[in-house]
Amino acid sequence: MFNLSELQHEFMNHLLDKKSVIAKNVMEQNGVPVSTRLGIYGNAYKVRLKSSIENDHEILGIYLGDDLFDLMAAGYTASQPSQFTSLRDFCEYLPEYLRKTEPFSATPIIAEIAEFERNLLFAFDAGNAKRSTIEDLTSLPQEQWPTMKLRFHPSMQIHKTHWNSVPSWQALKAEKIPPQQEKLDAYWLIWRNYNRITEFRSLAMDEYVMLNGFLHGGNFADICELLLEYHTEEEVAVNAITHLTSWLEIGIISTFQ
Amino acid sequence: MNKFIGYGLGLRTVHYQHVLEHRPDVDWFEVHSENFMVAGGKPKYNLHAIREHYPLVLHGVSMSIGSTDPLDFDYLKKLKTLVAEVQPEWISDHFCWTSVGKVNSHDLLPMPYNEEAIQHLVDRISQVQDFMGRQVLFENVSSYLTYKNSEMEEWEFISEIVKRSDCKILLDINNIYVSSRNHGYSPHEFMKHIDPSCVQQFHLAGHEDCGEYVIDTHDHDVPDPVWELYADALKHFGLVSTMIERDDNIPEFVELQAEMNHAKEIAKTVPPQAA
Ligand SMILES: [Fe+2]
Repeated sequence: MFNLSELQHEFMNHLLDKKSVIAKNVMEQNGVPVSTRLGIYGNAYKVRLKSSIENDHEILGIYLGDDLFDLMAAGYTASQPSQFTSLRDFCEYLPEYLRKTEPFSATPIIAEIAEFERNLLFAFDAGNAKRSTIEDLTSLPQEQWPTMKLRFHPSMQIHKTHWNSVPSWQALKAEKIPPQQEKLDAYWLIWRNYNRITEFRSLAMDEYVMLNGFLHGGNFADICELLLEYHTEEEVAVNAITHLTSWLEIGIISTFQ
Repeated sequence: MNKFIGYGLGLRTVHYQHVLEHRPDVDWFEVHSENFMVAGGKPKYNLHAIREHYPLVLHGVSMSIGSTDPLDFDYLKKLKTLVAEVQPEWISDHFCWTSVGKVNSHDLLPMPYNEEAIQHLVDRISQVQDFMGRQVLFENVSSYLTYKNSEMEEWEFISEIVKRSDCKILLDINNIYVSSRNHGYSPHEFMKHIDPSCVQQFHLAGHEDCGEYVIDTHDHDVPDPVWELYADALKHFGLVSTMIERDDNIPEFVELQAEMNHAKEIAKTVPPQAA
């Protein structure tokens, strides 16, 4: 007979549609066949994982339509059994799966929509932190500006796209027909606002360069240097301060160092 | 004597707003631990806001206490942190296993009822209770199959584990009903063999009756057979802190509150010294 470990591995093999001898260890009771009894568990496993994908990737589901969504849910569930404690993380590898797996890989906007939804979810429950204000910035002594570095709110992320995935996501969210897939190289800022609501907006190139510079540990002087590619020497400081101010207003700067 | 904290409801996201605005007359809420094992944001904010006004109990689904994989101490650490934050009345999980070979089924899978499994569970429950620094409640699950290598009834299995590990029981009345139908035993027989001093909490819920078998879905109102069994349970166990579990097809808050009040009414008919 099965010891506990064998029993559990055989049961799991059954759930994963692998070869399993678990049926040998299940009693026939009340006229309900062993296959029906095991089927209840097998079915529940797939239904639960599928509904977790539906929950976390609502717009992706609408974009794909029922048939493609079912194909994706079955394919992903089979190829990526959950290693996670919480179902919240089950779709962690979904964007990668969609990038690499036919027929989804042929339409790259699909993986980008999935990735965008992952990032929104990340912002939703990322850690809490202090948010600096404009007063904090103005009280910084003049001589400290060149060496000033920033720490951002944990929910803040830069989302890079090559396709018009974000406009498509927005159209579907507003229950409109999404545009045709087309190339769109863009950067998006995602963050959780003061009211704990997730927001996003597009980033201009100079603003992206500046954010990215700070994220990689650059100080204000380094960043102004980088901005010379986009602005004249006279304009650099004004533009940098405009961006800093807007970041403070939306609450994505945690601290100055 | 087990602490009696009255009648509660499972706290679901769609009802946060209602609870915070109306402060409904509910003695306590049960929340799913895993939903709050996140870094921050809205889930935690709401949890703390509600905790300011209500006692909470933490109910988990991921301890996988019966698994033959090593105990997941990362999970237990997160649980311990959450306990420190929320100061719950108590914490619970299930007499089951959910993962093996590092794969999580995200389901409450049944144990075989034999000595090997008892010893395995007793060892692990003791480790968990030591780590958490408190007693933990474990719940009887709904099951759809009986293993050939089970050597005893479910109630004997549970009673023995409780005796040896000094844990508590969260008795799910609906799960007793569901399993009794699926395995053809008497739900009264089950209850009769459980020591009332070990039962800290009741769950009441609905299910889907498929005729030949019954599935524990938590997406229906509590049906008559479960209410009847609850009334019998009160006679045997006395007053036990009770909540309505609803996970899917979630109705308006007031409907759940009405179900909870119905449970309260039924309990009024039971003499206080019944247990
Ligand atoms: Fe339950």
